[in-house]
Amino acid sequence: MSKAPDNGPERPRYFLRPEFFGGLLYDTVEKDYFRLDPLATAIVAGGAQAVSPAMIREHESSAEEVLELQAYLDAIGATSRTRILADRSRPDRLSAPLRVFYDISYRCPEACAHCFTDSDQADPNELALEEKLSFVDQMAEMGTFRISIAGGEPLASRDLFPFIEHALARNVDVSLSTNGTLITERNAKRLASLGVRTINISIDGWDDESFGRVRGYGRLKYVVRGVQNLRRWYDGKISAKCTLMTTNLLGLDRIVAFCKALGFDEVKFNCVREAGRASDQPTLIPSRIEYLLATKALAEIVKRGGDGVKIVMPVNPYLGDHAPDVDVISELGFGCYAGKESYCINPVGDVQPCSSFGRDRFVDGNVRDRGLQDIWLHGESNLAFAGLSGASECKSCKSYDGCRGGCYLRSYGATGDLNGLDPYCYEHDPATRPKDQPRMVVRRAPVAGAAPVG
Amino acid sequence: MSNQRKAASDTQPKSAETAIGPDTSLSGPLKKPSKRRIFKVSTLHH
Repeated sequence: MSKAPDNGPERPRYFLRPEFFGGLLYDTVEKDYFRLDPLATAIVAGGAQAVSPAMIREHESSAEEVLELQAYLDAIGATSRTRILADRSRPDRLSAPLRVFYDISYRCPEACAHCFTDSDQADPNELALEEKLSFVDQMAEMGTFRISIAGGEPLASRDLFPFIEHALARNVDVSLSTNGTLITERNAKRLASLGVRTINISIDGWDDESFGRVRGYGRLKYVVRGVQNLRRWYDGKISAKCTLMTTNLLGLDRIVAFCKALGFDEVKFNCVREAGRASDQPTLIPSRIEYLLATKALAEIVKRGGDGVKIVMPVNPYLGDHAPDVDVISELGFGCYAGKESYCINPVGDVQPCSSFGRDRFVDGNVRDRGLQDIWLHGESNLAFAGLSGASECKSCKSYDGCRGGCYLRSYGATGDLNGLDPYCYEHDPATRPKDQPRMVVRRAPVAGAAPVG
Repeated sequence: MSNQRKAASDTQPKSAETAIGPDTSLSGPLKKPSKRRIFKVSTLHH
């Protein structure tokens, strides 16, 4: 880099984060990350003159291409309106997460049977507003410009709106996941005026029976009212979030039609996780074959155009031949985000690679007494998750690029090993796995307060 | 090469949606960089 770190214009449009593959450029207007290779990174940082002939050879480029790249980056303002963040790049992983998942409070007026965070009442130790704002400031300094807020029910937190306001002022893009019941006209207008980009509303059924079995009978009408309020006042993207459970696997097309009728822009599917209250509801958890059939049914809906709505498939499922052309690996392509592209902050400020492991497991520290950057780079649990790459079967699996090892929560739940075989693996049925096959053992990150396990 | 490095290095956009999009602020034709040099990081879920 030819420029000193942390420099740039007073009001930058872009932020550049040096990374091992080059750099990540965040566009504060479009609210998107762009992955830059070393050539593009060097040009953003120092112009075409920063590109040496050796770099051109190494990256199989040409002087002509470098000039074209410079012209493009000049035209979009990347060479003049970029603030370059301090170089904290690591040889093998991101220097900071792309995104933070933040559960703002455990408070929730609903009582869903499958709640992953076991939410009900607020924890008296939840972060104060000042503490919340402080970690968002850290995110901006790290170059982490996305936060996904959930809970509990985030709209039940009095800190939600000032928190969103602060995040957006620091260029941290906000998406919100809510059960929808508290989206009054007033709240819909406030969300619209703040500029929240995406609002996700949980829709796990298509009528009061299918919805109510998990989320409470009679509750759907309040969700529908919330969606209608939002649709009336809010121009951003409204997504339905559907958790695949045994209660809805046979009605996926009906859920899509229901969401379309309500005016959702897209429907995102993910599978129920054995976490929180769902751990006590084994009948909600699909079997392997049920899950595979459900993903096949979803793939069919995608193939016929989503029935008029954009469909987002479950994160890193094993689709095999069901859907070879359907994108299932998002962001930078690591598969599971935990420790690789994101981490989670729970309402009391504890930081974990994945919050679905429960409130006390794989905690790397608390934002009250440890910096977010330090946790990302040195947190023991975070590093352990960053090193996960799937089971031994995954090493030679032809579908590895379609899943990259699957869900480590499921693997851990089924085998006690984070690098165990995902029980929903499409290619390898765990039931037929040889019993004497040696298991890969990843050094377990410690449970908070306990001695590390070797 | 570790899986992390492989993922970020090798992953290319799978569709036009994930390629860098046109910037409406630009006037006139401008050659877009190849996806090997710059691409938009897609977000599917959040």
